[in-house]
Amino acid sequence: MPKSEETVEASFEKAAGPVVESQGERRVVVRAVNLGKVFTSSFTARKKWAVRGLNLEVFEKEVFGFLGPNGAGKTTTIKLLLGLLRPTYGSIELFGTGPANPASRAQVGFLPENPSFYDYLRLGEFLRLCAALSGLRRRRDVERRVAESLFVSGLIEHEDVQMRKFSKGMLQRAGLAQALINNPRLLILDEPMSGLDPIGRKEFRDSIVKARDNGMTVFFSSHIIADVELLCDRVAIINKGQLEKAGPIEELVQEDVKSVEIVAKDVAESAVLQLDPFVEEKRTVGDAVVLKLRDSRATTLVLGTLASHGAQILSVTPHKETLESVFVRQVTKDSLSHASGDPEGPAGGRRKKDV
Amino acid sequence: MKVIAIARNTFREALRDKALYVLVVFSLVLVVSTRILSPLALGEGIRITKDVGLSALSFFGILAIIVMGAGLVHKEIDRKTILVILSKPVSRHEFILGKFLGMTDALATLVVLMLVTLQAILLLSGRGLDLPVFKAGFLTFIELLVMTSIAVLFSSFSTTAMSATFTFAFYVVGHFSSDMLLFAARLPSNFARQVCQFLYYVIPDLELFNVRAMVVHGADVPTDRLLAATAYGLMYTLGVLVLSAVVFSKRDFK
Repeated sequence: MPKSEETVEASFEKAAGPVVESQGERRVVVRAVNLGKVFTSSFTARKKWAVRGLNLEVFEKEVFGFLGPNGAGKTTTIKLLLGLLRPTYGSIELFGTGPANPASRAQVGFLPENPSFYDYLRLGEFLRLCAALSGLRRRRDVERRVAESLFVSGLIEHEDVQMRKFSKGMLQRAGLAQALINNPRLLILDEPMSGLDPIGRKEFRDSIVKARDNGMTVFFSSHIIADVELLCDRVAIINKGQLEKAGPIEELVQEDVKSVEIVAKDVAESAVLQLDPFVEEKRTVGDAVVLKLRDSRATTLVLGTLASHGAQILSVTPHKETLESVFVRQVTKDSLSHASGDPEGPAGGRRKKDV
Repeated sequence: MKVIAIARNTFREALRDKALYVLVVFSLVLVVSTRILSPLALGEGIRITKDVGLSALSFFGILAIIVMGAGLVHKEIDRKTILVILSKPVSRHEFILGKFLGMTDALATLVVLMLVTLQAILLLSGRGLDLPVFKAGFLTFIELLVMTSIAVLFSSFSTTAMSATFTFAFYVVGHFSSDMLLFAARLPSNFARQVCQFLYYVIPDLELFNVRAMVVHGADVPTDRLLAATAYGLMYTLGVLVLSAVVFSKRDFK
């Protein structure tokens, strides 16, 4: 039996969390408050949460990564931002204006996932169309922006080619060119690097860096962690429509306790015995001893003890957690809580961290 | 400006669609062939040329709407080009109006080409310029505007095939809508009568635009008929476009 509107609303209220983070004087470009989207099947009338209780703030001039597995709700969130979908609950703003007002998109450039364009148009014609739709009126401005977009996307020599003849990589770059046509302050890219070859990905990463250097805010979704780690100032991890974790990358990967590996020579047995409570693992490699510490905070104490027992320190290597391990842990934790029938899982209305 | 940009793009799409050229060539061949066969028409050749020419105008016009117009909005959703367009500062009603005007441009080209060909044939037959033929062609164009707005409405919420079917059904029923009132008067059930009356007011009365019989027999089109039909057609079109914009503005693009 389908959920009634009231039931859905109640479960949404339970799932939603407060907006907690602020970034001093930095201006908020994107703000989502308790955002929720329910899709209803037209045949069975069954409701399905695509996004639930999402609180999000993106600040100007940052590269914000929206990380999540396939089907996590990344594209739905972006479409809600752009007014392509209407939220079931909550609110969303671009530059302080709701997406129902087309003016909210005046300073936005958007590249959809697997973009599809008018294949009967030549690239130049398409970009001129996009320029007109972005509100550029004077012919001189239009031609200047078309030329700049073609230059940035590396497609100058393809201006007169029909887009039906474009490869996947070229279509992606054409998508970037149209997104940049109005010299936007906010660039929204949905899975921009999926399906590109390594060179294409490198070129696209360079374009994002260039956009940030030009003062644009970049919001991009991806499930490719390496790209997010390389480019982003802040990251939000979304899974099953809910925000799992968010913040600057350095905070996300340092939040949890990391191990430290110390390699030393001439380590006395008495020192090893004394350090046993701090050591998680001990192994011998040649005439050196490798000590893996349980807690990085004990590093100074362990080094002091080793030095006082006449050991020679060869190396100290802190093992930081990667974004990938944070991501995998967050996503699998959610799956496990589902598998074990955890009543406080997403269906039960667990509170999420906000960004 | 944005509406014009969308209209220009829609018109360009129609011009680069082979279907339009096929329709134009077929309709012109049909009109020209009536002159070739005129010796068999026992002196009625000119009448046949006018009749076939004006009927072809309506028939190929509605065919163009079904082939190109029925997918006008849905094709954009299907190909996901709508995501790019509506992510720009473009409102949904601007999009609907732009698509309608673009299709109207394409139909106007078709109508003008056919009318010019028809007049050229009449001139070559020594009949001079036939103004009533222009008037009949103009009213057919208004009829096509009404049908385009209906195609846009259906296309804004249903698939291309559904939209084509509904549009064609409206076209057929629209030519018999005045009979609907007569039919309603003979129905025994009050409910059925009300349904028929409702349909009469909802479905456009396309026979208002049909002055072919008058023109073919050499009569002129009365100015009041011309103005009334034009006003009715434009009002109906406007109403359907407003409804399309409302329906379209409520749509989600998954």
